[in-house]
Amino acid sequence: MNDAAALATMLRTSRVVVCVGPGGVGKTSTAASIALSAARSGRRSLVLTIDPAKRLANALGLPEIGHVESDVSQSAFRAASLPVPAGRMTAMMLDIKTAWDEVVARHHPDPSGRQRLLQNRLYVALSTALAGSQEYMAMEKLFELSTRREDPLDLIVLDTPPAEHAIDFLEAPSRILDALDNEATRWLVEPFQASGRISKKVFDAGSSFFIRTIARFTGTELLQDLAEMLSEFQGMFDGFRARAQAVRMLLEASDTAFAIIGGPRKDALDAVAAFHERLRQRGARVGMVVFNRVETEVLGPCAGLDEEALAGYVGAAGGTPDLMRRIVRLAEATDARYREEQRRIDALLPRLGDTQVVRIPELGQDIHDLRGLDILARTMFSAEAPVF
Amino acid sequence: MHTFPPESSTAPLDAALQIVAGKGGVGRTVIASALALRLARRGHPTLLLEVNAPDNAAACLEVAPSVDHPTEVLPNLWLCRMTPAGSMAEYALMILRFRALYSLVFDNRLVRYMLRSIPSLAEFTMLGKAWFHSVERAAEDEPKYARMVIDAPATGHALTFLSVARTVHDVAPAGTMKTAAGRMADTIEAPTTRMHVVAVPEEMPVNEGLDLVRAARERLHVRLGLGILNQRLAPVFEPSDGPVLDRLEVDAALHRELEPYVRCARRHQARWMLQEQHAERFRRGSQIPLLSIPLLPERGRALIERIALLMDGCEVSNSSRASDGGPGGARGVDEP
Repeated sequence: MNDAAALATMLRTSRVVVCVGPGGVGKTSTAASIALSAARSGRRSLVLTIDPAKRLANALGLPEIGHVESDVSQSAFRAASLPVPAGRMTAMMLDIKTAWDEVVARHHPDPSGRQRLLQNRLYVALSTALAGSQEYMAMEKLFELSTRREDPLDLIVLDTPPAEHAIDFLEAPSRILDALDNEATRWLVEPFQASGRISKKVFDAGSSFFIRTIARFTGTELLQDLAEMLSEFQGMFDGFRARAQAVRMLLEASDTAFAIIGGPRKDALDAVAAFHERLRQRGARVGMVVFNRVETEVLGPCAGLDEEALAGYVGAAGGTPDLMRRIVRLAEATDARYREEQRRIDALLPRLGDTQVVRIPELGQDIHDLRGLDILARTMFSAEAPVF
Repeated sequence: MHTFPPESSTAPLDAALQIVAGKGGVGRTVIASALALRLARRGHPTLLLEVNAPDNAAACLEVAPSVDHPTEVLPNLWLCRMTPAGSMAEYALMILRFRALYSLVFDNRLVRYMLRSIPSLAEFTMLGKAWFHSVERAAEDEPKYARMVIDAPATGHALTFLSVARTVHDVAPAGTMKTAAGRMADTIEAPTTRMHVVAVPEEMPVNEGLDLVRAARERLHVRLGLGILNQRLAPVFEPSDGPVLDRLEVDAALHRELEPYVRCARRHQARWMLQEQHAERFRRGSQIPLLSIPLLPERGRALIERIALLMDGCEVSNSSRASDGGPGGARGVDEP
């Protein structure tokens, strides 16, 4: 199933690779090593993570990655005794608050309104807490990066936050738009815009029964803040909508591929199948499915010493029969786990259609530096036997 | 300020409110379920709350899912998976009192849309529900739940969930919401509350665990309970086996049939040592007592039962430094 040539083609022809999957399966490391592989083949790549925890910096061995693109420098490769890539690789971690501020700064038509919005209490919280905010900003950033003229990127690898459903990510733009711009918000915003605040009259009038009831729940001032924030957003929705549409086209483009990252554990396998189904339904191109940290086989089906022979070796080396039994049990348990994991993955294959499936063996070391990422990259994209 | 029953102990595994946090995939739900089961078995009416996660705890405990309304799924153990919509309904009802009024307004599609645009409202109402259960009374004015265990979301979202009450309290204008937020924040910061940080002994889960510990100390003001190192591999080999394995490795170069066994043993040793380095990093970095849970073969309810028993076994050694922190079983709580 793992056709190295097909994977290399995918890597060479894609402009965007979106890594999705459940938590705890090495998604960020995988995203970084996809970007690294592209840099090795001479391309200019960027890996973008939106994870609030600093995983990518960890994996790249950088002290910190922030909202500004940082170079994985040639000296970092030399320090790790690795060949310097022919291309160039950068990494950045999206800071959601900064990203929102950038969007407001760039797209709000009026300077004083812009300032009001940036200082609105709810806006300040919005940037970090509104459901789908991270995903939405990742899309805004993806759009910005994919269209930039200066230092153009050959490949953007997007690492998404862990999600139960692919849909969380794909529908983020429409959800955010939906939350900020709908009949209900307009119906709150209109009386506000007329007078600059929700007038006492609105609260008193019988027709604003809804607003009064909600105000009992949230407090009047919070509704004022909400009305102000939504009001300031009004002028920007056309731009939001246009970019959301552009991102949707970008995600459905033939040079965008999704990589689903999972692991051999049962819950991760189920998540992989669900992701695959939903992405396919939406017409997205799934370029690869990666199963990380799969057990490797020790003895194989026919090999294996009989206990007597092994006891001979262990005894000659000064070991006890007990040590011999522990060695045997360990090898057998490892193979049992290997077979079980392979069986589970194989059982899933019919549901993955013709998608390339990569099984990355447990590397026997953590991937937390460039060397680890390099091993992962080579295991994923080349036919050569993995190095342990 | 509302607190849990005053008689409740502040020993980490017996605290009135226990919050279980950690990176995605480290087994938070398994640990939270075991904590709750153990407390229930000791006769404390216990509520296990899951925050907007799939029905993992129900699957772990092999009981029917219980969404938005606590159900007694095992003797003394109530389970409730909170959803944003359900929590919002309950929270609004607490304030509005009349279901008819609630339904009229909050079931209105437009209103629902509008509420979605209030940032953090989902986390806030879920926390509000958690708080409500923490002060809920049974018929005889006894607290309904003597203990509560919250299975928090993964790191980033956990930080939002745990900080939202204080944030709302600080920024909201005087009113119902500010008062409610203040009470919730007080509950999180109460002396009877503990946050346990779960990690597996690997690089990134430990890093995130340490991030959580730092956040708890610097900005959440929640008291730390235990660091829980889950899925700690037991060592197959003793230090005294070292020289024998060295000699076998030399032999393996000559006898190919021996080679896979030696390679497997060596790989196991390497993994084990690596994991011990991470365990040590977690212990030193967190400066909180560590509880090790070995990698266990059981699944489902059997796994939860086993871990609950292990938690019992180690409780007494809370204040003494365990001999080696080795993972052969839950050897005890390692004081840093």
